[in-house]
Amino acid sequence: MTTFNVFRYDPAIDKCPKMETFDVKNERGMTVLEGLFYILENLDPTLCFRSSCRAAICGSCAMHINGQYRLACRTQIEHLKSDTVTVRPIAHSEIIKDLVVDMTNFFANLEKIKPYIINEGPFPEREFLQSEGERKGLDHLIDCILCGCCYGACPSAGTDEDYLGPHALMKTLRFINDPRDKGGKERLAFVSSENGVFRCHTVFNCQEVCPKDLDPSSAIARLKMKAVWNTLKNLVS
Amino acid sequence: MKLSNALSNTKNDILLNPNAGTFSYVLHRLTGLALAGYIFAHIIVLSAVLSGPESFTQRLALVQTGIFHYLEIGLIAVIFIHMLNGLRITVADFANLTRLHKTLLWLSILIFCAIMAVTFYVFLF
Repeated sequence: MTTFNVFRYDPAIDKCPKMETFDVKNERGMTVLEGLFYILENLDPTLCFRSSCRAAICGSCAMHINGQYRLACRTQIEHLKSDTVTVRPIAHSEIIKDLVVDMTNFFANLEKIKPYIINEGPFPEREFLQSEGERKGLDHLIDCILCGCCYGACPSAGTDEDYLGPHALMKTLRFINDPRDKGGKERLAFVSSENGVFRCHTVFNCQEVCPKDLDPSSAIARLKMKAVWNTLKNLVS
Repeated sequence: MKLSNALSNTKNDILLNPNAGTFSYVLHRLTGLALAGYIFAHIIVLSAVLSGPESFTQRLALVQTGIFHYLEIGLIAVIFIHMLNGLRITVADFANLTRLHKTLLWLSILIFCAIMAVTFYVFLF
C-alpha cells in the first residue's frame, strides 16, 4: 500500500486548499498517474487532474511529486523510494480544481515570442530546405513538450507574471538558431527587454526539473550572450 | 503582482524546490540584503567626518571594539558568499557551463571555506 497525499482545492466551494490522504494498492511498475486513476476510479470520483498520452509526450500530467516537478505518467512509485506520494499542482498558475491549473499565462507568454518561422519570402516552390546538420543543431531545443515543469519551478516566474519563462525563452533560441527563420533581430530585441532573459536569476531549477532533460538555463545563457554582444555592437557602430 | 503574493510564491518556491540552485539563490538574496543594509550603516559611520575629525574618530572608535570585531568576520563571510556565487553564475552563463552548476557550487564552497579559515586565523590569533 502507498499513501497518496493529494492537494485538493475547489475555488468554487473551498475557502482554502487542503491535503487529502488516500491508500493506493501499489503494484510493481505502477506510475503516479496510475495511482491517481486508481483514486479516481475507486476512492474519489471528484478528483481532478490532467492527463492524455501516458507516454511523456503530451506534458499534460506535469505536477509536483515528492519534492520535484515531474510527469506523473513517467514517475514510477517505487522509484520515489517512499511509502508516501505527495502530489501538488504546478505553481505560478491559478488553480481551476485540485491538480488542474489555468495555463493561459504560460501559453500567452509562448505566443508573445512568435513561435513560428518568420520568413517574408521569396518563398521556395516546395518547402524551406534544412540540412541534416542544421536540424541536428536544434535537437536540444526542439524537444520541449511544454509541460510547464520549468515554469512552475522558476522563482522569477513566481514574482513576475510578465516574465516570459524558461519555456518561451528556449523556444526563442530554437527559432533564432533556425537558418530558415529571418526574425532573429526582432526576437533578440524582444527577449532583451525587461521581462526577458535578464529577469532570469540563474537558479537552474528549470534544468533540474525538465522531464526531457533539456537545458533551458543554457538556452537563456546563450540568449544573454547574444543580447550583450548585440548591445555592444550597436554601441560601437 | 502584489508584494504579498510575490513573497508567498517565493516562500513556496523555496519549499517546493529543495535543491542546490534554490540554496544558492536564497543565500545570494539574503547576503545581497545584508550588504545593502551594511552600506547604510557604513555611510552613517563615515558621515561623521562632516562634523569634524574629532567626531569622526569618536564614531570610528564605537565600531572598532567588542562585538563589531566579530561582526567583521560575518561581513567578510557575507561579501564572499555573494561574490563567489555571483562569479559562479556569471561563469555558468558566459562560459556555457550550466550543466556544471553543482560542481561550480562545490568549488565556490571550497574557496569560501579556505577564505574563512584565513579570516578566522587573522582575526582570532
